[in-house]
Amino acid sequence: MASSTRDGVETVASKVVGQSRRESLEEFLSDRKIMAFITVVPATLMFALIVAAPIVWSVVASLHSINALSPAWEFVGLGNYVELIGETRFWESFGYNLVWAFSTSVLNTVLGTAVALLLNQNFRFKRILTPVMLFPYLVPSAFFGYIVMWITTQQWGLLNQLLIASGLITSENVVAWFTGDPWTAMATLVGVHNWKFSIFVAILVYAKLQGIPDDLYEAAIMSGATKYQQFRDITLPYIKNVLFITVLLRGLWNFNMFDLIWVATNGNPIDSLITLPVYAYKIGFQFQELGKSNAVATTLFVVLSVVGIIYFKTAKPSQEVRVE
Amino acid sequence: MAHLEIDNLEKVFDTPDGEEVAVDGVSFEAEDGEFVTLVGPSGCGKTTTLRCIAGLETPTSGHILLGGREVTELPPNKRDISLMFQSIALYPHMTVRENIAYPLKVDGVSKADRTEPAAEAARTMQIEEMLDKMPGDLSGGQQQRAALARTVVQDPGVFLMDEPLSDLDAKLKAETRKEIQRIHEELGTPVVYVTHDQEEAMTMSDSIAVMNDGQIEQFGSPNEIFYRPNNLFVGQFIGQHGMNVVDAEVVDAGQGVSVAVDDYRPELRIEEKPRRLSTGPVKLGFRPENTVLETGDEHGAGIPGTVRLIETFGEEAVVTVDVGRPESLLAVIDSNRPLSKGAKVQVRIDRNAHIFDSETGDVLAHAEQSQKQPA
Repeated sequence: MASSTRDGVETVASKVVGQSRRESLEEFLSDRKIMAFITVVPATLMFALIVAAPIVWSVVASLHSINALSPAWEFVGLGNYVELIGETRFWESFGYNLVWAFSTSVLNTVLGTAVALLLNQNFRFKRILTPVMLFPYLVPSAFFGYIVMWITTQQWGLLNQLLIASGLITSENVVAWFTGDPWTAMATLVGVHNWKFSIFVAILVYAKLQGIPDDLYEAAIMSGATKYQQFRDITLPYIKNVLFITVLLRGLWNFNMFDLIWVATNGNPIDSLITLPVYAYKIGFQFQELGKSNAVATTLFVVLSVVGIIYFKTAKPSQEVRVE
Repeated sequence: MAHLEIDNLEKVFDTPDGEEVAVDGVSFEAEDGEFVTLVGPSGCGKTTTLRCIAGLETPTSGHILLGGREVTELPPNKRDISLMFQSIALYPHMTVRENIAYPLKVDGVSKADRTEPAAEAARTMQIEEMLDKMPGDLSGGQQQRAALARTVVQDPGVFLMDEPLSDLDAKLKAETRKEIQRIHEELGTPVVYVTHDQEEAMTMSDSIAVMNDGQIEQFGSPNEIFYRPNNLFVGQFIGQHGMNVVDAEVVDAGQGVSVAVDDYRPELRIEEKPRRLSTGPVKLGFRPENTVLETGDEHGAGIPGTVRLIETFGEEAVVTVDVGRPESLLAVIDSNRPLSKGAKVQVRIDRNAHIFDSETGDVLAHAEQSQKQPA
């Protein structure tokens, strides 16, 4: 009897201990600072490893002279940058890069919005046309670039064959899409880029368009608003912020774009059209000057950071349309 | 201000499952200054009718005349009408002022010239202080007023309103209802109002069109609709508690019409001698407000039944009585009356009743119970 009572007391006591332990653990966890620490640290570590470390590594590397074939890093300070600033090719590439990034981003946004507006209408064959339009975006860039390369090949590419068949050009003077004049190459590349990446904008804008109540348009129609006035006064205010975001995202991504350009132009056979990422690649992997290559990459990073900050300060894309 | 005439309006929608007739030969007129309500259950075609009048839908056939002018094919803004939406439909990114002035803006009125009418409309709706706020900052009732101001500013020939009160709570509903009536009286513009709420229809309208299945079942004043329903549907749809309907039999269609519900024979006094009435089965309809419950068990004094449910609303209580038929009967009684669940009662008709054709549901006779009460 007595022992069992003692056992009972002990069980109760150990339960109490267990309880207080759990309580103190809960108390420990419910401390704001500790909870914040526990939840933020994993993400911060991932960010540091995947994003911050390579940036730091790249910036440090840009201050050294590194030969790809030898492990030695020779500190040269801003030497690589001074060298770059003195190169005509660097400034040319920079110029092409700006034209490229600006024209693709603006056209992506305009064309993407147009596609979204089209998809938002009801028309016949919509169910067939929609996947056809979305398809290029679903294909990986490198694969897409490969298709483009075949289509644009000068002698037997699909594009030139179509133009010959429709009588617009003769087989004697086929268009050198990527191998002739740099601005032709640029225009072709911009066109190809829009074929694929306008769809990105279209998807985001289309999603937003779906959220605009029909009643607003009907109210406007009752007031006698034309299609253009409906777009200007209802659609545009609703999608404005999406457009700000897409311009920013496409701007950043297009500025840094390498894969599509590299593959579509078959490793950039003409030297006249070079964008900065391609230039960085060439310096690094063809001329084996890794330090200088990193200086180009760091320049890209700095330029984009500055543009991004200015953009966020002026456009304020976080201000949403208020919908009650 | 204008006279609105709807003539044999028909609207057929093409759906994947075939054609769907939404509006099936609707005709009615709204006199100058009249408040006409289209009321009916959802899917009865009332909103489609309104959208055809607004010009947001093109009717399959039929005509819409406004002030004698054919407007059936005209775009909405050429019709001299304005529409208030169920969802209010204020532009969330514009201030209240811009919202109200928007119809003027698209009309090409200069910014300076549209300030005054917009402020005037806001003053009429008593939301002047709200002009520079965004719709999201307004309360539900203020949003409703702003939406109303936007229709007022257009100075239309006809106001169309598509269930503008259905999203409001009961108190706000009653307030806004008064507001709409005030505006209607002040401006004298005819209103075509759509609702599924028979109470709204009864309290606001000069005329009511009760719709069902794309057709108007009855068009008339609230009194006519309530006291002289054309058919079973109107009888049951209108009225706070609907209408009790029981199977009955006309045993004498001669001079003194006599109707029997089993052994209960209410003595009914028929004002006009109906031509179509003959002996045989009919449906007898009477309102819960005109229904009396007696506690005696005298044979034939009423329809015998058992109290199943008592719902009390302040002074009144609605009693549901099982009478051994598929449909139970309702009676409105004084809530102070001591009556409990399970009590045996006799359901008697007090005052008005209506005799309907048992197959078509069309009314055969409106009857009053004779003053002579059974002992």
